Amino acid sequence: MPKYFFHVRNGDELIEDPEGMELPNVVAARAEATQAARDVVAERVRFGSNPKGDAFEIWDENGLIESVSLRDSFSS
Amino acid sequence: MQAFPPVYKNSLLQKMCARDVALIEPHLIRCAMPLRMGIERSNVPISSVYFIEAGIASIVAKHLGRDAETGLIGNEGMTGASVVMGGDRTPHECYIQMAGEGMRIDAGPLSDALCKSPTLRLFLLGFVQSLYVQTGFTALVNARCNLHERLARWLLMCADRTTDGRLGITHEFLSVMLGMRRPGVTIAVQVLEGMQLIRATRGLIEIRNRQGLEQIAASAGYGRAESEYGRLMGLHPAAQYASAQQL
Repeated sequence: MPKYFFHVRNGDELIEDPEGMELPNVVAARAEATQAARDVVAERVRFGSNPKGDAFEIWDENGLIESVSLRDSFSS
Repeated sequence: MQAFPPVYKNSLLQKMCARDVALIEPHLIRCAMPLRMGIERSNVPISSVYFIEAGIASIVAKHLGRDAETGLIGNEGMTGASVVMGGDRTPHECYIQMAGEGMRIDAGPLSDALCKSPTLRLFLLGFVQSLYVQTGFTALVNARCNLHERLARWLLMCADRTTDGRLGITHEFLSVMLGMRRPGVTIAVQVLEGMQLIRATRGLIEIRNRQGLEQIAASAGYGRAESEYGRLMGLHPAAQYASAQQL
């Protein structure tokens, strides 16, 4: 299974996912990022806390595949 | 004062009365406990019970592909709570989340010893009670506490069960502990890292400021289950470690 990394985009800063995660394909990776983004948004709404991050960037060994915005994660 | 250093690094075996140790000792086998080693499977009779000497075992509730940790056990305790309570299985799973070693005893000889010795049963039930209380506080924090408070509590619980401040914890383990998808763990870790309380590298989390972490974890009930363990079983290993550091 390919390995995907979910780096966190925070403005100009990229917070790296050090380990990555093996998933069957990019569809599964996108689903994982979307669900995680909802977790984070839910955290912000429930507690008013504001952990960093604008989006999850899905990377593989060749580079950036796509970006999943935290803000848009609950409307899709 | 103790004339000899204790043979066992597991607190239960250290605190157990000599007669009860003698009862189970012939059946104890030291063994390695590698990462992800399965100890208990859902609804399968428990074959062996482990008194953990190093590393961490995790009790995990699983349902329809979702999982959440409901119990954390290290050198202060043992697996196989169901066996101590007179049962032979549980719907939960138990496996190693941080590699280590332990003393294994098969469920049969342990059950026999528990039937023979009421003091052994009561002693180990004390630990089961403290584990039950830990699970209760885990339910509380999962329902009521924010992400970095939960993470701080769990990191301290792991640190209390290891000998140094460097924790071999993967994001995968953190994801189960925090009950959140793995990509979100990077964000949770970053919150505490940004506060200079921990330093995270691949597969390793180093605690840089334990006091700071304790302040945050206190709002997530850290210390309550530990006090219950202390009340029932005597000083918690973490407390021993803390007092040793003050000398």
